[in-house]
Parts: sequence; structure tokens; C-alpha cells
Amino acid sequence: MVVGEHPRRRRSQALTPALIVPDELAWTMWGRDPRGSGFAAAPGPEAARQLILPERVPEPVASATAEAFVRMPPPRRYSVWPAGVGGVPADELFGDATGEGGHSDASHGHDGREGDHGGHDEHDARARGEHDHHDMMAIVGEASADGLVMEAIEFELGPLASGFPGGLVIELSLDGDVVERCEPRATLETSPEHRMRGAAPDPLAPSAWAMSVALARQRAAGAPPAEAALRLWIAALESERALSHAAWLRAFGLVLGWERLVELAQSGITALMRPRAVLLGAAASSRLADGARADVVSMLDTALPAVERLSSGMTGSRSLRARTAGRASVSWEQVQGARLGGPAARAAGIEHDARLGDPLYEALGYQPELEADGDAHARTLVRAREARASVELARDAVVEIGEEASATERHEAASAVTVEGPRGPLRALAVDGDGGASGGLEVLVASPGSRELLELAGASVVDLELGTALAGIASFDLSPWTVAP
Amino acid sequence: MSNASPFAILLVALSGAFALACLEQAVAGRLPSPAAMARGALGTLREPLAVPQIKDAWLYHGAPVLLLLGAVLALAMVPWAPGFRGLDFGTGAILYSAALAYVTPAIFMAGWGGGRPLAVVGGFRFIALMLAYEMPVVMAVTAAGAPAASLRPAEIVDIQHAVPMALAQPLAFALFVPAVMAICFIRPFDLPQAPGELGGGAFSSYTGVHAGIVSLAQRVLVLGAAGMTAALFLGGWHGPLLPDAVWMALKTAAVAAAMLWAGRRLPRAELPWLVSATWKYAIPAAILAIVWAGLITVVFYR
Repeated sequence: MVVGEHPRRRRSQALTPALIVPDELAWTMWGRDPRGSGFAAAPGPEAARQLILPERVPEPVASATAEAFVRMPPPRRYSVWPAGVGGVPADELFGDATGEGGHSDASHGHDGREGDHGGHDEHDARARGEHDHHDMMAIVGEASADGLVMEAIEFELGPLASGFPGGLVIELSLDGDVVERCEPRATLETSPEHRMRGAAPDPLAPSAWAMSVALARQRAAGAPPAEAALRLWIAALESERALSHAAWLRAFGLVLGWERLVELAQSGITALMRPRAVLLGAAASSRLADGARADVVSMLDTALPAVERLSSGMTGSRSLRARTAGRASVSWEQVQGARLGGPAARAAGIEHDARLGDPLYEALGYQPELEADGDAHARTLVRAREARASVELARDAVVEIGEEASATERHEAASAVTVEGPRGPLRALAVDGDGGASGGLEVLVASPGSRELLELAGASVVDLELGTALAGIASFDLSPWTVAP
Repeated sequence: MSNASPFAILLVALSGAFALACLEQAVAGRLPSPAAMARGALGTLREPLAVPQIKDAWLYHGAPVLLLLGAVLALAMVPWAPGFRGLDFGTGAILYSAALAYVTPAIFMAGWGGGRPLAVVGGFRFIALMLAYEMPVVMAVTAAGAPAASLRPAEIVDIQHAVPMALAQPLAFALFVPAVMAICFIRPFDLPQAPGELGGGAFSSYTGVHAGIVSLAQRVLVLGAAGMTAALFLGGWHGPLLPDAVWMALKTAAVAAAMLWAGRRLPRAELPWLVSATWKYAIPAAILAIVWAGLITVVFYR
């Protein structure tokens, strides 16, 4: 359910630190920006005055939320916001959370394990210690990177780690403060039943998935969509891309501890919330009234300077370069080998974009944003520039609706629809299925390259200091949702 | 001979911390709301003491207290006016950095007492960095004290009646300000707590009164840092027309505002970069600053 932007709080009021489940970016993509409602993500449950969660909380975020709730300082307030994801009902999470007593027994068995930053540290340390308690001074094992045998610090970050998408779990093994091993995992999944009911496989990109599913259905039914409808979808997709990149930039600013980036991104987000909501509704119903069209165009015109400031602020920024250049690099060969798409591939110099070759996009003057280095800096620049380009694309697409359709032959080579989502290509194929929704069609979905991206991201931050590594992981804009084919 | 009672220093600490909180809001572009802040502070005091399952109770409870003690002690070295010079020791400027040394064990105690991997990482990050910060501070202070032939902050202020030390010794000034900001672990040097990265880091396990004391201590540290910068480098209470204490307050506020503003504009400093920049560039530069101080002392101040 897409809710329009809420009235901004007066600038004189500070934002309440809140534990936002799953995270700020998800709520922004679901139509309700927490900052617009006066809440900012708290660094941890201990600093949070409020808990914000959806009506249904997907596992394993649900158990993490229940654990984090107990760690919040009293009075523990929570508010439930509507969202279209499945999972455990929110009120079931707090059944026995009457205070410390109920949960301390549960947490005693997991010494040091936390919902927020799960710590297996004490378990591992004790386990290793038992091997050589006859000689307290010797630590046996494999030598670490600098030749000494060290005890590694092993723990899991997530699924509710601040700065990272809710549901993303990052297993880390540290040698001191240098990362030895890093394995991010996407732990959330939309069940097939929910998908039948129209939920997006990855709720962080609802327009992109709605577009791919709708076009796949139309293609299977043999009814090619009208140009106007396609332009509406393009406008919705591009406005969502701009919003997604701006929301990611805000989260990245939080990871980098950079208030200025957070503010720049926030002004872009605030400006994009409404036009994107309008365009999503219009594309889904294939209708945009003339008055609404003029409104959307003017809203996008207003959004453009804010996103332009964000993009040029990042492009010229020496601080960004100092902080992200050369970190978490993935090479051109690695990207080719993993067949990645999306901004991560484009940042490594690979022109992989489902929008290339599309006649409508060509008519809009679309050019892919490319960078060569494949590092965190390149990925940030690619997304910042894409955000800006997307606002213009969306605006032009809306303006051109109803204009004389160019006589282009839409060549339908394959029957699967590929749409370029904010994080990479999305693929949908409608096949005849038995039962299910509309017309007995079953839509098979895939997000090619997303699993490989997780692996590459983990591999790219080995031997980096922890803070640098976390910023490197954040620079990949990983989605915590797995799309099961 | 000290001419400031401990109660006066505590009063300066508390009211200054409050003023600093208002300044933080103002720098963030929001109208400071003292009423809301006071209500928030009272609410924090009324929260029941929630203590997580901790193994090192002494460290956990002692860290905020030690942090506050170190902060107040550092603040006590700052001279605010000719009639209110703080503790006014003959080696006050160096004692300032000695008091700041308490911040390191306090932060590590907080991290270790918190017991989480990320809290411990936050703690030992600060140990790795503090060595790097402390030397430029001490050397810059020595450089500032050289023309005055004294380490008494009030005398260093007096020697600046004509020219502020920031103009006479720009290198020492440029080294002192970031180093002292880093000791206060404020942005962009908030590596021990690193919200968004370490999720609160060394202080992540503190709520309620403990968290309140930590943030009070940090504000007192910033107040002391700004005050000492104003005293050692910006001419302290010297200035036309306005009374001495007002000048000192204005300069302190200006320095604090500049520190807070810089914190918003810049991303968090990265640990490897910060350590290498400090050891490879800041410390040699600080030695150069001392040499420069010697030169100008001989040429101008004698």
C-alpha cells in the first residue's frame, strides 16, 4: 500500500531516534519516509525511543525485533505502520515482553548473542580456550595474515544492523579490526502465496517488479502494451530508481557518518516521494489524467534541483573520494565472470543495462552511467548520477505520453521480460500454470546476479579495516530479499 | 593559586554543556528548544536503571564516571577571565592534556564492559588513535607556551594581548584543533561510537543515566577543548569594548560552533588513514611547530 508523503515536521523539531524495522530505506520505498514522520534511525536499540514496525514482520527480522525491543530503554513505545509484506503479526512479537525477566532466561543461553549485533564471540573464545587450558599462554591455530596466531572475533551483523538493510545478515570474522572473512546473506523472501496475491518478490523495488510482472502477463496473453502505458511504466520505474538511489545514499551517509550527505539525500527523497507514488498508481492502472500529469511534471521539475545538488555534490566531493576510492573494488573480470548487472557492473565499466536498445529509452535520450574503477567510489558516483538522470527520464516520459507514437517495431525476441531495476536486472516470464491468480498464468521471476553480488561483496572487503569494510559492503546496495526463481 | 572553587567549575561545566547542546541544535539548523531538552534530561534521570547482562560491572559502571571526571578536570584548566582562571596551575596547559588522558581508559572500559564485539572494537580503536592524537596536542601546547615562557594558561593568554597565537603560530593552531576534536570523539572523529558503522560502538550498551553521563561528559570535553583553543590560540579574554568573560565566552562559542559545523560537513575519518596521517604527518609537523615557536620567541617575544 502506497501512502503519500506525510507533512514534514517543523524544522525546529529534532528527529526522534527510533528502531525502524526493517530499515529506513524499506519504508521510504513503501511510501512512508520515517524522517518525514519525525523519526530517524537510532544507532542501536539502547538509543531508540520508539520502535516502528510493519503490521506483519518477516522472519528472521521478527525474532531480531523481539530481542531488540527488550533492549530498548523503558518506556518502550512501538507503532505499527501498514505495509504490504508478509510475516509474523506485529502484536505476536510482544507477547511476553513484560520486562527484562521474561527474556533474560532466553538470552542467558546465548551468552552475548544479540538481536542487533549477534555476538558469538564469547562462545567461540571459550571453545577455543578449552582446547589448551593446560597452557594458558598458547593459542593454537592457523596464523593470521600477519603471521601470528590470533583468536578471531567472529560475529554476525544484522538482521537489524544500523545503516544496513533490515534482513541482511553479515557474518564477519575479524583479526583484530581487520576483516578476515565476510559473508553477507539475504535472509528475507516473499512467499509464493504472497506473490500470487500481487506482492513484489523484492519489496524494495515494487514498481520495477510490478512493471516486469505486468508486461510479462501482457506478453504471454499476446497483447502488447500501448505506448502510453509503457511510458507510464517507464516513468514509474525511473522515479523509483531515483528514489531508491537517494534513499541508498542517505543510508550510505549514515554508514559513513556524513551528515551532509544525509541532508542532501533527504531533500531529494522528500521531493521524490509524491511523484513516485502518483506514477506507481498511474502505471498500475494504466491511466494518468491530464491534470495529474501536469502535477507530476511540476513535482519532478521541483525535485530535479534537489537531486542535481545531491549528484553534483557527490561527483565533485573530495571527501567522498578520500573515503571510498580504491575500497571494496571488484574488477571488470570478476563482474564479467559473475555475470553481474546493475550499478555494480556499470561501476566496473561493463555496459550492462536492460534499458539499452529499448526504442522508448533511446527516444528519451538514455545513456548508461559508467565508471571504470569498480570501487565504492565508482558505485556511489554511478548511483548519484543515475538518480539525476532518472528524474529527467521520468519527467520526459510523462511529458511525452500522448504524443505521436514513434513507429518503432518492438522486437520481442525472447518471451521473458527484463526490466532494469535499481539494483540490477529483473526478469519475469509468464507461463501457463494451474490455478493461481488472473488467467491461470504463473509468473516465474528471477533476479539474475543478486546472489553473485552478495558473494563478490563479501570477498571484496577481506583485509580491510572493519569500518572501511562495512562502508564497502554498504556501497553495494545489497537487497536483503532473495528472489527464488 | 586557584581562584576558582570546585563548585564554580562544576557550574561552568553544567551550564556550558547545556549551552553546547543548544549550539548543536542551532548548527543543525534547528531552533534550540531548551524546554524540550530539559524535559528530555529529566526523563532520562527518571528512567529505571536498565543494566544488561554484563560481566565487568566495575568497568561498565565506572567508565561514564571516569569519563566525566576527566572531562571536568580538563575543563578546570581553562582560564575564563582574569578573575576566574580555573585551577590555575603553573603547568596548567600540559595538565589539560594529562587530564584528557583519562578519556582513553574510560572509553576502553566502556567498550570492554559492554561486552559486545563491536563495543570492544570501538574501545580499542580509540586506544590505537589516542597515542596519535595526544602528541600533536602536547606539542602544540608546548609551542603555544614557548613565547610566554610559561605553561600557565592565564599567562599564555596574557602574552596574546597584541597578536593571537593562531596568527603567530598557524601550524600549531592547525594541529591543535583537529587533535583536540579527536580526543573529544566528536564528528568527524567519532570512531569509538561510530553510529551507523559500529552501531554505537563503545557506548552502545548504555541507556538512561549512563548514556546521559556519557553525553554530558562529551559536551564538557568539547567545552574544555573550545575554551582551551580560545585561551591558547585566539587571545582568550583580550578584545575591545566587551568585558573579558564575554569575549572568552564568544570565542569559545565560535570555536565550538566551528567544530560542530565541521563535524556535519565531513564524513567520519577512517581509522587506517587517521593513524597513518597522524604518525607520518601530524607529529613531524608538530615538531616543526615547536621549532617555529622557538624561532618566533627569540625574534619577537624577547
